[in-house]
Amino acid sequence: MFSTSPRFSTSPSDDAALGETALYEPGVREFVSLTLRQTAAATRPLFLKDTMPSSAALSRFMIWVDSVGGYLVCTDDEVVLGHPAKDSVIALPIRADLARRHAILRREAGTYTIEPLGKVSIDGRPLTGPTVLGGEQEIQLGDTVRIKFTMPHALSATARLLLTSPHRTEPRADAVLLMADSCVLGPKSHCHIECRGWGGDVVLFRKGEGLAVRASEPISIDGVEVVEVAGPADLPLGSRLEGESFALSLEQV
Amino acid sequence: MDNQPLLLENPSASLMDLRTPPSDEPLEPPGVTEPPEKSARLASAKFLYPTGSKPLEGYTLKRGVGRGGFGEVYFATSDAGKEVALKLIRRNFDVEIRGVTHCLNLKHNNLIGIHDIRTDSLGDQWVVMEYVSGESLEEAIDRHPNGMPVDRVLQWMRGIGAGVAYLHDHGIVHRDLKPGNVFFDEDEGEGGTVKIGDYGLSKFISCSQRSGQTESVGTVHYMAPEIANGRYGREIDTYALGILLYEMLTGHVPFEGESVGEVLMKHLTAEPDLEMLDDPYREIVQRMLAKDPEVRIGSVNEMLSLLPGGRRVEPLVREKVESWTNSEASADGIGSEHLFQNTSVRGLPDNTPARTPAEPSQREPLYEWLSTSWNGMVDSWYDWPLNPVGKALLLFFLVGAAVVSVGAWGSMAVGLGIVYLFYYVFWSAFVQPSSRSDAKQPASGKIGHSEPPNGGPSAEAPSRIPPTRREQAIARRQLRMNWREKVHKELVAKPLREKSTELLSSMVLVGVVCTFLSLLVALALGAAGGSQPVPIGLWLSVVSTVGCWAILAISKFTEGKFEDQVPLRILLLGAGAGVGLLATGLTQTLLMGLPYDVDFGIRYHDSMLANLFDSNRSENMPQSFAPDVMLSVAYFSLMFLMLRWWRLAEYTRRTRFSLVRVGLCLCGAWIAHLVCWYPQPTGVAVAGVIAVATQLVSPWLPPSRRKTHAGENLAA
Repeated sequence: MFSTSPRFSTSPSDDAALGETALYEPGVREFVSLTLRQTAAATRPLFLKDTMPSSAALSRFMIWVDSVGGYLVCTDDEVVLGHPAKDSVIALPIRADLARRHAILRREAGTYTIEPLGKVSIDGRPLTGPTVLGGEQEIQLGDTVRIKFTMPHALSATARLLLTSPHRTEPRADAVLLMADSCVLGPKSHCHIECRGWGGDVVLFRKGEGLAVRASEPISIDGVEVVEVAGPADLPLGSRLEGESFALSLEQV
Repeated sequence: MDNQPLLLENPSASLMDLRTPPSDEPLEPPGVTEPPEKSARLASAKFLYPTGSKPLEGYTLKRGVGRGGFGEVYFATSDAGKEVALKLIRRNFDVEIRGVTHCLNLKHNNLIGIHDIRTDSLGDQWVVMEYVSGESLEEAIDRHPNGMPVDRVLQWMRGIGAGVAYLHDHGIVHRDLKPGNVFFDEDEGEGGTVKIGDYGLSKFISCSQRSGQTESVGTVHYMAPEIANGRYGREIDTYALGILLYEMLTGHVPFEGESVGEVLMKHLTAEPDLEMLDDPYREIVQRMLAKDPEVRIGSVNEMLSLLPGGRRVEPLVREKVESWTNSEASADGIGSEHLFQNTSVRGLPDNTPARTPAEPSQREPLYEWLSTSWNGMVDSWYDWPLNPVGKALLLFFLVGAAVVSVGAWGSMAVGLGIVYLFYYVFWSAFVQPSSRSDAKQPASGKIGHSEPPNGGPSAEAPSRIPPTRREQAIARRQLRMNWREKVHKELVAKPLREKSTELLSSMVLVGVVCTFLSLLVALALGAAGGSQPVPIGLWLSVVSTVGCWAILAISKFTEGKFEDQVPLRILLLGAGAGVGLLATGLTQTLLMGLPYDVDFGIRYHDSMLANLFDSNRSENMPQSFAPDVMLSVAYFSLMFLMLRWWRLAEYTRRTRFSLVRVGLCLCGAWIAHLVCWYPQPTGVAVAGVIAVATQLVSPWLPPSRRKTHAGENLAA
């Protein structure tokens, strides 16, 4: 009834989940349970399309939340913002009139600094050198790109970037998360991803080099129910997380 | 494309088991063909396809967006990278896909474009649509639970109206207009475009008869009454637009209910509560929500022409507006001609300015002028492009200079202030048009209008604020006056016995409060003046108690009866004279003088009426002084005449206790001694104690009851 490609058998942990993952299109995206850094390094020779950036350290993925939106997550401590280009190392490409490397956002000990490489202003003040970002601020890149920078959750150093001007990131995302240790999805406004109508919070956090998940309701990962007593469950990239009232997928980009 | 939480989902009918697997997928390993029971249960409330699946050739689904009446909507990208919305219409749904076919080649800015209709390998239909980023009207309304700002409402309404007018012009009735079907595309055009979705699909009653699965209850709120008779003309869209307009302005739909039946019944019978709307909208909504489709506003274009213009129509440019033509209007940015196809634009301004009668300003003109110019100055100060540090320094310097030179201008300012106060008393007593209305009361929060952050009328106000604001103010005042009148009527109708009982109890209470306050004040006065506090306390408490009694009694028996102030003032004059007599009598029986401090007031011979009275008074008693009958009577009469004491005891006063009123009474008493001398601070202290005690003691209508009264009034 369901089908899959043999490629999936490279990931033995997915065996039980084959029924669920069968609807994915296996030829385009890789769905393997590898850790973040390893994914970038190890899978690229196998499945990589030529459009991927060439940096091995780059680690980003999309969270697709059903009924809510798609979010680009960057886990690196240093993120370059700029115009997308085929073979440059841009973690956060914005389709706009920008330089290829327009600004660098750095996270050090929970504090974000922005280093302007092109024309950058913060809350209307032009920047000449690296500046610390704090609270809620508006970053303007070039003449037209406006980005709202917030750190919504008091207990997390994860920052959220929201494009307020009509530009788009590539791939298109409703917001960009600079993920520090954790990322909270939930119904309240201080969540990194605000999901209207959810019953409780879902927390994604880094565990070793990979991702794990904790939720307030029973969840299943790729169709396999998670045993609650076993603690936080590993959440490999490419997997689909489902709860009673929600579903989301992680996709590597 | 909506996110209606009110979906009547049948949980047992899982989407999984209705779906047969793709037949052409290769390499189907045995053993995994059975859908896992657990995940089917878990997934029942969710989307059929997860991220990454490709049920329709050429498109990769990214995520589920929402669920409409006919199926799920996904965000997807084509193989080349084009972003689209895909709507899955499952084959076992009895949907008239022909409707969409008719709409395939419609093109309008305000309609979500339909690119294609495709059939997948399972025979399900997919509608390939333009993907719209941005919030739906539903979310926008949720963000403004008390109504959206008027300019946003107009932006939405024009967009929706233009789109619906286009549909009607092409012979298509939308039939499912609701906030969840309207979106705001931030990416398109300058400042975004309103987009209507789900047109051509809807057939909202017949669709669910068989499956019983996904009839959206939310739709019921927008359902025109004639649908009950099976009539699906374009008027049902007009009706839905009326509901939308109402909901945008107030934050909730006009007809709410516990069940579908109740809401439908209200559509058929109940009248919408229009009192929350302000004038241009009240009439529009009323006409759009007419039960009889023949009576309802006939076309969307007519509705659009009734809305306040594309730019704010100002009374000042009325002549220019009169000569507007269609082309001029579009050149002015009002919108393309099709907005005003049927109705001349000329009809548009006539509606608005005609409803703004030249309401006489309730504020005192001098004050008005002063506050206007002050606000103008403040605005221009903020707009002044100067370094903030420089501004701060300048401000500091200005304030410093003002403080240092206070000797030079202070006395002049005080003099001017006193002259103005006299003028104001005169003005409010004799000139002010509606005497017993509190004109300076700031407007309480009102639904559905944008108020500039600084409440006062600023210099630019006419160009910034639509004329409706004044109408709103008038309506608000009328509303307030209405409930006041109602309360007044009730008060007048109260039996004398009840009134007397109430009065008696407050009189007893006020005696206690006055005694307490007087002792406090006497202690302070005695400490300052060196005289004994006990007789002063006694004197103060008796005089203020009697004063309070007079005010309470007058207020009790007159509130709601008199339209003007003159009888009240006459009564108070008499009361003041009585209090004055009592005050002298007391000083004479107690053989005491009233504490007197030259620093607190003027000297006897400086007062205006000093020569009228006994002029050979000596001032050899600087710390205490016993005024004679004439002086006392004159002072208290003047004090009682000058101030509107009854407002302290009004049942309908705004707050139970207002320090501002106390301050006004103190000022009034002090000013009275300029005319007719009395030892200060004792004279002022009497006024203060009376003001505080009266306000504390007299009954007060709490805001919750006011609301009920206003509500009852509206209902009636």
